[in-house]
Amino acid sequence: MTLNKRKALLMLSSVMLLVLVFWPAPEAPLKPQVIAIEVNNKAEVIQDKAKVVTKTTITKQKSPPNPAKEVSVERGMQHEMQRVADIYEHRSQYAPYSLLLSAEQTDLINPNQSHESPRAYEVLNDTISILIKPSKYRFSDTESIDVDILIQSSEEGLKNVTELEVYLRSSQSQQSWPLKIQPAIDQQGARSIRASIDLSSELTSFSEKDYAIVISARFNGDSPVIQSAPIQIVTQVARIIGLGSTRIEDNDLIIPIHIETDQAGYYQFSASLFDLASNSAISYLISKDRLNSGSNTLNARVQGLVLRDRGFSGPFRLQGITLLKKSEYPGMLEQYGSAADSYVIEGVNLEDFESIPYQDPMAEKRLEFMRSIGQ
Amino acid sequence: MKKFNLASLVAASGVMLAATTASAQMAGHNVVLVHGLQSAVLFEGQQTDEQLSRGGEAYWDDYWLDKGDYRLDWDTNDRVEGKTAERAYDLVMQLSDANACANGCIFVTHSTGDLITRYLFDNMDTWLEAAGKPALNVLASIDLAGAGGGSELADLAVDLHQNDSWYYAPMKAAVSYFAGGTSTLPENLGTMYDLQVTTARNIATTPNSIPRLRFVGGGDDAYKVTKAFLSGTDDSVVALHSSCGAINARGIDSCSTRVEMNGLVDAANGPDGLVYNNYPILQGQGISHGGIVSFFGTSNAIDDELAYVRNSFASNGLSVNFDTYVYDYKPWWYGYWSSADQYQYVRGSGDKMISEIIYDTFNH
Repeated sequence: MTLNKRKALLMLSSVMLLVLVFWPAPEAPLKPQVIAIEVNNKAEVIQDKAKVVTKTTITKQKSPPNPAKEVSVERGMQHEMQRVADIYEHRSQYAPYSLLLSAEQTDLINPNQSHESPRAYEVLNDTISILIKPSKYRFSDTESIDVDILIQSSEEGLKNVTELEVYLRSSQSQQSWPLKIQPAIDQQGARSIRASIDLSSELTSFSEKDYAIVISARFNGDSPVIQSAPIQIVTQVARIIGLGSTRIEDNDLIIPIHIETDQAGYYQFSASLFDLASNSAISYLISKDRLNSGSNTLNARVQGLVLRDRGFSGPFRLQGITLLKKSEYPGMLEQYGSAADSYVIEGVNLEDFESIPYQDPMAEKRLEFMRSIGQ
Repeated sequence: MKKFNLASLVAASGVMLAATTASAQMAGHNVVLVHGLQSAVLFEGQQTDEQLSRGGEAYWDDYWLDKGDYRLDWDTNDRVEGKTAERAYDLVMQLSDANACANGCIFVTHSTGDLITRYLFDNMDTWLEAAGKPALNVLASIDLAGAGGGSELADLAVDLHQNDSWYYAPMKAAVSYFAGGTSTLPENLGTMYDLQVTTARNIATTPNSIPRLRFVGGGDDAYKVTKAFLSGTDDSVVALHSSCGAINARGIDSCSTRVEMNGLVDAANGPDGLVYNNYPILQGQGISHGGIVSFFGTSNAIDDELAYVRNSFASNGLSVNFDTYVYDYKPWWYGYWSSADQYQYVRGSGDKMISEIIYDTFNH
């Protein structure tokens, strides 16, 4: 070996060593060492020795925390319970019949959703995933069920799907009804299919509640793969026939809901209140009362504090409406009523309301309990 | 606390309600235990009250049994809105008659017990009002590996149940674990129908004032055979979207968008939002579905760090900032110019199991 070759080898070794030392961190899970903090059940001590972070600001110390000590699970949990208590306290100022609503709470804003996920199948060298997406979860026995089906694979992979049936199946009796399938649309390895069934004309005898939209797919003629999405089909036992004139009572905006019922019982109305102009979420309303058979009025209430905190004077829109006949005892199943998609409510003068927090003795007890853990 | 004679109580009322020991309660409050799915009983058929009582005892035996003052022992053969609702109704009436929640009571649930309890909370005020009884003062529910948002394994079980050919081996293996280790499915899937993701997420959806304090894991009990069928990170039976209390079933890898499962403070694949009054408290990447309530499981969770979830007003639809504690960690191999990672986590406490830590903290 020549001198030049030796120098080159030495340089190469040095470079490799440097690369090894300074190579960026791997993404593999890092096992953090026991770190930083003396506990002694005092937040002040923790803040002295650790870095204190707010959502937007990080105050860093120049040197790492030393000596290294650990935060116990108990202490961390206590700390978290304090935070939860703070959030709970903030929420508790809003009435349970008029919750503060944000755009993120899509489970409340869009109730009655299907929550299906795609399921993947390995077929030869391709992966085929199937997603069944009914337009909602609970259907009235007089309406049409629409279902979107998405099959994804490679363009070659889609050719493996040689047969597809879509049908409605009752969970108990296993009786089934075929859905009408519209022509499929293939686009870059994705096949979209729309299927539907009109219950009022096609489902002549039905007494169950639990059903499923079922897909039977054959890949290259093999035995079929079965995938389903649960739905419910219900008979309506009440109807919202309109709203009355709003009024202000005890610092709440009262919205009279006119309801026709087939049976007496406890009925619960819930809906999201939006500002009509800005389409901003304001409040989630829940009201429940015992109604007679026939014509009734159930009052929904919007807490004045919510309106003032949100700063919207309307006009408003009620949407995402659910009318539920509650179970009063075992054996009495929940039943549902119908409503329009939305109702418009006239605006208010925010000056007519005061910012008075809701008082709930039980919420106080819960807070006391959570704070006791956080101490 | 008075010790009830369980046998006579069952004989008298058919209610699975028991006060277990004189030293029960948590911080002076009565504790109600609600267990999870017991798939093995699906092969045995409808359970008697005595069988349910024995099953309930065995379920909680590793730790919580003597911490519970009352139990709801329900049958996996039944649907939530069916016979299980009757058992829940009877429990609510018994708690009311015994004035058991006068000083506030605490529910402790595991897995599907989360869903059953949500149904109970959703209906108990109407049940009591219709019966002319006062409301119960429930302080909180501690939900361990809660399945209130359903489990994709239940979806799979229902579909395989309808298909004798069992087309694919991995699915069979996953459902086999879920169904109690057998290679066939029982005739009746009972509560598994309710545990389908879409179905579970449409049961008892009305928000209420009872805080649900959630403890979750990302560990493994089943040699990873189930993980491919659960969305995002899971604990072998329940995906995080369900156990964290997320508003939808999108696969997530943390209960927070700002903290990963191992405590690393970073942009995490967290929930789009949390169900009203659901608060994840602790998450541990090594905590398995069984390990959160017992010593069962291939991993003992407490060997690993647990991250606290850093609940925020933002994730609950409000907007207020809070301080929190984080720690820098920069291993030597990060090099000169790499910045340190930030972690927020808490350490395990010796040989304590996770349930033990939770109880000790709440009971102090």
